Amino acid sequence: MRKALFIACLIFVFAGIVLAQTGVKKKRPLPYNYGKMIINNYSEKAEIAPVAFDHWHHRAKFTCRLCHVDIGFGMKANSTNIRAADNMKGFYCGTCHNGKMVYGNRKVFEACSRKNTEEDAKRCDRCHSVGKNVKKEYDFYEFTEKFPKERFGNGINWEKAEAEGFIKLTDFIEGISIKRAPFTIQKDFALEGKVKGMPDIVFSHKKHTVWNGCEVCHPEIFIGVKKGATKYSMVEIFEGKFCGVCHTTVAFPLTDCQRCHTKPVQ
Amino acid sequence: MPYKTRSVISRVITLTGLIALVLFSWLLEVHGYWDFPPVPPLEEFGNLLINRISEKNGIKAVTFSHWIHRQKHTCRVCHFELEFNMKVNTTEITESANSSGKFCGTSGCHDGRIAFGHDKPNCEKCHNGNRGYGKEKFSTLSGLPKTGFGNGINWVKALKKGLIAPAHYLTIKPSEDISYETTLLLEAEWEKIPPAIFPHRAHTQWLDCNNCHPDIFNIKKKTTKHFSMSLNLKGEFCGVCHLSVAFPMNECKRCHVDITKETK
Amino acid sequence: MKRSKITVFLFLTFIFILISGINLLYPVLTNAEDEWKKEFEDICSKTDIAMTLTDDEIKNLILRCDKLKPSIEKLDEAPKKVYLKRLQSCRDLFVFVLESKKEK
Repeated sequence: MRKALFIACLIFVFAGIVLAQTGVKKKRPLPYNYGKMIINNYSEKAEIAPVAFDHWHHRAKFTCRLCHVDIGFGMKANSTNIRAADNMKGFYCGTCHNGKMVYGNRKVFEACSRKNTEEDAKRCDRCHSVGKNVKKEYDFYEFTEKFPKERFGNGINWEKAEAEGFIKLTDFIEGISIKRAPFTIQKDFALEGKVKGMPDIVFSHKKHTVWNGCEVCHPEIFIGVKKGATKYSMVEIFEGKFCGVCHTTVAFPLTDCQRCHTKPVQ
Repeated sequence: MPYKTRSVISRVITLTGLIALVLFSWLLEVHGYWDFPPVPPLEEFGNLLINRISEKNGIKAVTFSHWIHRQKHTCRVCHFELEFNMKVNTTEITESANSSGKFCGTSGCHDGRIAFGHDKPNCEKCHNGNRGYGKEKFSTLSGLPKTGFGNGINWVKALKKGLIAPAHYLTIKPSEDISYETTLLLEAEWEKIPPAIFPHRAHTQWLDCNNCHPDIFNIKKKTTKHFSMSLNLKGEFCGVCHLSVAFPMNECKRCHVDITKETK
Repeated sequence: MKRSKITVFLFLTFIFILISGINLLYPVLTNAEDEWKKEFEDICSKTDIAMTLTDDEIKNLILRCDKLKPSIEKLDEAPKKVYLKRLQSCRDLFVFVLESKKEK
């Protein structure tokens, strides 16, 4: 009962904070926190800390499509309902984090072990790290030191980092990914700005398909293809729909107005 | 006292406390309180002491003067390009970040060439804990157009007349394609108060779109009715800037242009 | 003594039959697994080139998706969840491409 009351108080306080923060500037996430997802479908129910997933470290090694199409992760945190058992059987995180896969010169640590030794328990913390002071294997600033920089988000120009060879993205895992016919890149197209004074946006299919393929966006995120078939406004995008699915969380943030409101997109 | 009764009593007390809290915050919100923040001397308006970790590390807090900086750079440069948050002590400015060319130490700013750098003899130019530091330089602004509020300077007019020429960017040139210039008419909450005008242009000369949108002002039109004067005065919406840096809200006429002594 | 010899003989025969049975069945078992996976991979390898296919080709792919679905539904919980989602996203894309071509 006490606990329930305490939780009620907490909710009240948080609701108060949220309501009170309507008209102020949100605090920007720090570069290494941009793209951090908290996954908590089952963790706390099983009395274990929620998982903090860092996009930056994974996107420095793999394409978006590999995880979001081939492995089957949803596009919203907590939409996939990953179970420890799934990981143990080699699905989701366990596709790579199986204690066997070799990346570079090291083995990828095993996720969600059945064993219950002290050593295993320590490994749990590597992902189930919310609220814990876990020292990560890779330090963000050290890891990204030489990468080409830009402002906002992770502060890294990922596209350039790949072009200049700082990162090499894996797009295929044997037994999981499908060998596909070479791509036919679709045409770029212009989206008309809705208000006077805002320039049109020229959307680049090429920029998007290299890392994403088709299924990541179509039809789940963008339904219509015919120009104007999907009507979406900045309000909705700010709320995390359409472009906002990625560009509020992982890809460069929407605050960078002129990167899209220009012809062509940068 | 039996345990059960005690816990019931404690629960009742907690609940009453909660209800009182709700009522109190509601009263504050609905009726507002019309106290404008205290008026500092002209040369201290917009001055800040930044003390996120300084004193914890045994160094004096940093003094920062908006009026010194806004002569040379627009708000956009620091609050967009250099990623300074809008609220003091929320940006993770560190000595090492500064020396590696971020925040204050960005190339073109306090890099040791354009403005004094982060080496020994300069420490106390910022780390002096004195909010009024550098006030002797305030007299150099005597040639700028006057108002009776804030710094006593009409910065917008000064910019328009070319008396100051602050840089609008360091590396990210604002897009010339974006030219949003609509002036909004904002109905006041009370009948007797004339509407406030909001000129986009006067703001975009200093700011970038994203300084205000969508965090401070969601672009959904209907939400504007939620930004009452009492919220503005609490530091939200217009109050993010127009209490502490931009002309303060005591200057009613700057927004509610048709206001007269009577309606005041 | 005789009886125990018979038991041993029977036991050995049983093991022999068991092993050969598994050996005989094994390819069938793995083939069954391979079959749905092969079909799945063949269908879903077409997503990137879907825009270049004809309407009939795409319609055929959608039909094949529907036909494959029941065999994926028979899998264990984890692979079922993953591969149903993957199959669904392929099918959705084909439908999407088909419709978008119609609009053009």
